[in-house]
Amino acid sequence: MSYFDAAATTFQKPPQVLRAVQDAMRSCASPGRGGYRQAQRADEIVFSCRETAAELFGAAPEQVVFTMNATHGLNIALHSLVAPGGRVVISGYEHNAVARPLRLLGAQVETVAAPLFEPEQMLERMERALKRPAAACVCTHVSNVFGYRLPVERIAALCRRRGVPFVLDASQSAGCLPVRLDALGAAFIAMPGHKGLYGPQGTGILLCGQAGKPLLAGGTGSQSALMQMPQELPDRHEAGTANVAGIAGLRAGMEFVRAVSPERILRHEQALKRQAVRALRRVPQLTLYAADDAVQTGVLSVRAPADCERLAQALSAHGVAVRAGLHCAPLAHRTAGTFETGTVRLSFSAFNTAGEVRRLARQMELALSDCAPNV
Amino acid sequence: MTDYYFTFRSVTTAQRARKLCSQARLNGCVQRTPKQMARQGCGYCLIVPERHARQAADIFLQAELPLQKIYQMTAAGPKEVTL
Repeated sequence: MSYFDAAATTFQKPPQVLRAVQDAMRSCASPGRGGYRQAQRADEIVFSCRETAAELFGAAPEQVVFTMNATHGLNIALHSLVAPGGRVVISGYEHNAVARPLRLLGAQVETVAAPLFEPEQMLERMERALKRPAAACVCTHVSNVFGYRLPVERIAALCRRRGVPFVLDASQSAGCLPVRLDALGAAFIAMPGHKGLYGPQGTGILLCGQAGKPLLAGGTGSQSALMQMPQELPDRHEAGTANVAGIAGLRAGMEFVRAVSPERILRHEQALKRQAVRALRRVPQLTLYAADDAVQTGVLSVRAPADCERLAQALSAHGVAVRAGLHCAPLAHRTAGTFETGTVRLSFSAFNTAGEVRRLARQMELALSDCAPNV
Repeated sequence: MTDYYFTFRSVTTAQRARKLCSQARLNGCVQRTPKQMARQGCGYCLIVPERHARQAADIFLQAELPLQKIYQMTAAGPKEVTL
């Protein structure tokens, strides 16, 4: 099976991630809950993961909050910043992890739509939208559907000038692009552990530029006499028992990323994407959403005159794992004009090879021939 | 030998304090703060031997670490001190 669904989850993990999870399950109790050896071991592992993340993402260890996933982190961020009716500026490429919490909060959302792979147009329109006061501006670093790299450094600078808290969704960029809390001056940056950081599912990180408002309240193993959640980070957002085994795996995943280097991982994924584009251009039925590496990472959407879900199913039968449909990002599909059909998305990781991509065009042709035309 | 207890609100800060000490080659171990020193309930402390206590206090001050209190552990019990 060629696994080309890294934008959902990196399925192939470095072996040290599996070992770290097992070791933690064998040796750790709960962090912040006891003075005995197993609890102290958990304290050390969790702190060490916080330190690794802090170094990788330009933050202090206290600013690193462990979450269940990026969605969890984004919910904390938006709950902290947005009151009902508050105006929020978002890009037209946001995931439902942003759009749905904003709907739940009753925010007044202004969606800045600009054509795919046109960062200058996005920037111009963002600048116009940010002339009016806003409770927050939320932007994805990379579209999960198209791999489109948005100009978030310049959008963050605009937000700093206007005094608008900036929230970055780094779900598709953490581990392959520079993501730094100190450089962006963001209010919050959310990322999953299970994609480009090669950690286990059920892990995530929220980098906090401010204290924020707790989404969940409960025991933290600290200041237990107080009835309110602690003011201090990271305890303020970490109620309940931590996912120690997951965090141990996440640490090993981040160490892997650091050892290989995010730049090399990006170059590898982009090389595979370019190879896929060259190969799939020879399949005449396909429309490819491809652009230069400057504005696209290793994620590629394609469209065919066949139902995208059926095509993905047929690809699976021919040994290719991809994701089809709206990818939980209807906004992005509306902005790019692919909402009615959806797309089939190929997304690469550090573990994919040129050999797998060489077989792709033939597998795609076979899958297309298995599918009846769209009606 | 007298030990000094540096108390912190969270285990993360206590771990950071331990790391700073270890970088300066000072001994210190993280433990749960004894109940009589933890005025807001559960907390963590770094226990440092007397010979390293002043230097540790300076390091925490320089790193702007949110320190709660410093206690000297005597035979009669803990005594709050400033260093």
